[in-house]
Amino acid sequence: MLYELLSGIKTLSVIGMCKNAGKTTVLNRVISEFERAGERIGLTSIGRDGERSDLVTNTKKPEIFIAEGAIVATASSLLKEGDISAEILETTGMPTPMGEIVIVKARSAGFVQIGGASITEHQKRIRDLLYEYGAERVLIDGAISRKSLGDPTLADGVILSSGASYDPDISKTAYDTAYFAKLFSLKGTAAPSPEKRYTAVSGGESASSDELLPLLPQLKNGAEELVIRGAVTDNTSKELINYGKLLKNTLLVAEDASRLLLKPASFERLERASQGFAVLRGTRLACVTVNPFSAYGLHYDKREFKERVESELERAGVCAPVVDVNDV
Amino acid sequence: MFDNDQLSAIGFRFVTESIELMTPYGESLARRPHFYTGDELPELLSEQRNVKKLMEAVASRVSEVNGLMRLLMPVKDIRRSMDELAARTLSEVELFEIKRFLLQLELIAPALSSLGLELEGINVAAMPRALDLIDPEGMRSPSFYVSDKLSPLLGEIRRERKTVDEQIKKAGLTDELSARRTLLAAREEEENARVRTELCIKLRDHRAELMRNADSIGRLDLALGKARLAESMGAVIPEVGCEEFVLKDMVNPRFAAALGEKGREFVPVSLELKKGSVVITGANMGGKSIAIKTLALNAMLAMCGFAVFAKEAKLPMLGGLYLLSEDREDAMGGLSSFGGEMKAFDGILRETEKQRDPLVLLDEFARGTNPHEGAALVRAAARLFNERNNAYAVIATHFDGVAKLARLHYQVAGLRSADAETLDSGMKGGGTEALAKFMDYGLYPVSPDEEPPRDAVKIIKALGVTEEFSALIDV
Repeated sequence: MLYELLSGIKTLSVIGMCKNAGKTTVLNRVISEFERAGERIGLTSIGRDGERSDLVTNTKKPEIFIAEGAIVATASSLLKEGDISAEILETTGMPTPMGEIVIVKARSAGFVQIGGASITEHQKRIRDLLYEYGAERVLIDGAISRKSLGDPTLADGVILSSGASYDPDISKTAYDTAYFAKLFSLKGTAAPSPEKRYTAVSGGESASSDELLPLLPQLKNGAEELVIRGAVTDNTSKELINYGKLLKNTLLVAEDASRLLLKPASFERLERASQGFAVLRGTRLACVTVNPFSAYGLHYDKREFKERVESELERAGVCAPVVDVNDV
Repeated sequence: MFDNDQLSAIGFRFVTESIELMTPYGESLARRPHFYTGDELPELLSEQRNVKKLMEAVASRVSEVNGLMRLLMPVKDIRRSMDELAARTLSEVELFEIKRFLLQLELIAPALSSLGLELEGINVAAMPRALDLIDPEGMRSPSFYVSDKLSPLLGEIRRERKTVDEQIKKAGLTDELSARRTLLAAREEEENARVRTELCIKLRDHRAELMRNADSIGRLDLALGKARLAESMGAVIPEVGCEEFVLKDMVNPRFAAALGEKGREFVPVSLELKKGSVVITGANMGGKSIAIKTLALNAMLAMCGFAVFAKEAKLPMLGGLYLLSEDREDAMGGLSSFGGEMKAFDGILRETEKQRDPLVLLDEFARGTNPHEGAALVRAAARLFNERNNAYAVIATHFDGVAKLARLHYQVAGLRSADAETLDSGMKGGGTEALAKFMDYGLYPVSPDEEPPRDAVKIIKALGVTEEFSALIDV
């Protein structure tokens, strides 16, 4: 049933909001549906800040199952964690804490453990290599870490996986899920007239009025779009809010969703103060998956969770189907 | 010899970093280039002949050389695998890299021999027998997969596994099928490891030749890098093993680049050296240090088999190369700069005592102490090297009474030709950049009786240092 939701998406990123969100279940489901449709899949992961130690100590069997013919990019030391019969296609020289990224072809079906590059340029190169080696669809195992959302523009489409393990409070989980879903479904802007678009560079965490202050005359002249290069943080938000009414007719444009590192409250405040947000490089939110089971024991009610997320998505103006991982 | 800081200070790193190397082997060689000393003249000459031949090829056979470079680029680094080949079974990834290395040899060997350069000590040869071990089917595909041909059992397990995989496709991953699958996967891994162990034992016979090829590729890569650098920057192959020590119109690309950014030009440095002490005197800011470092760079390049940045270069085989300068003392933690300098100087004296033809460069030696004693120390150093008469010592100083001890005396002209009035009107408080216009950075041979120029006050006035101070100077 996921297959139909993914039509037109060549590279798909499955992004988990937390561990045990059911991302692996979703990945396996998507993989087997693609394979059943006769499509050769390519598989990789984006760097996993914070999950590194788990990976190193993880003695559990890797859980992603692929068919013969799949192309996999993973860290060399994770190869032996899996049990496919592997043909080595390429060593990339791209380093990770778990060894360099290698590209292999599965000569049998089997389980694989994937670890990927953490540098965006490398991730893009790996995606391209997977296609060069014959993949017809590429799946990226992504995770939301504190540092970044990962560049969603690596992929044409995103599945966001949320679950009860995110927070014991179902309202918070539903609210944050809708917030991330909103970021991933921000529209790419249509090419505007250059005289109506202004670009500012944000210093991210260290954004200061020095950097954004020169905007004043431009905003007064009626900039329709304000493109903010770099990370948009709570600090950036405070600076922008200071422009008050001048923002009213301006669309705020980030480079892509991963640059929006704002708290939901800051995001909403800016959204109200302006014409809202857009991104230069948009992606498509294919669906949101929910897992009511928590690894920590506080399970949600299956129906309630799905409905809560659906109503939060509606409130946030996000149009995307919600799927329970246990029903896929 | 030089440590990393010194190699940076004299501009050697600047030069090696501007060489484009294709392989990890060439990169390692360039990071720690071999300094040919004393009795290694034949080896140095052989390296020079290689570089010369490659320079000609770079100039006249562009597409063939570019083709060769493209073949060098994908060469994998197999050194770690080679180191450990005797001790353990290599992984599939490591065997993949050896296979790729062997496949690349098949391409590089004919490309290199068709250039017909007959490079000395560089012999890249295809290794079909080793390749047959890794690729028994002879497919020569660029990937690596432990072949069924190496073990009938492996083939059997894999076929069985395929059957189970087919069943899983139809029936899903049932407990029973899952258990069979896991067992077969474990048996395959076990047999795969056994086959790799056997393969590695056989590969050990080829280890020496693999290493020799890797070494040749590294030397080829570096020599080609030297040749391309020389061609693009107009460097020349120096004459080495000479009785004379003459360097004409030397340039230091690092300083030339820095000056270029300020719109100024590097003034070439010419020097002839004699055994014993050669002294360079001259004004502050006149470029004595730059002259010393330019000499250090080009002597280093020459002894490492590079072309040098000079119009003409003849030098003996150097027993060693030493530089004592400000950059050195910075590295001497703990001791005061004077103490550090003397300690380092002591080290140089002891090391060079028995050497044949070392080059010792002292930049503003003993600058950190009072001029009276400082001058005496520099004179003592000049006397010592004269008496030893085994080293080429070059001493840059602005102390009095040293030059008269010199076998040869060079002077930076500095502000000599600029009179006070022109200076005043030209400077208009323009600072060091404006002053540079009046400096003559040329290095000229002068009589040993010529004392260092007295330019300090002129410079102070030209720089517009407050008159409250300059009026009180009572020279």
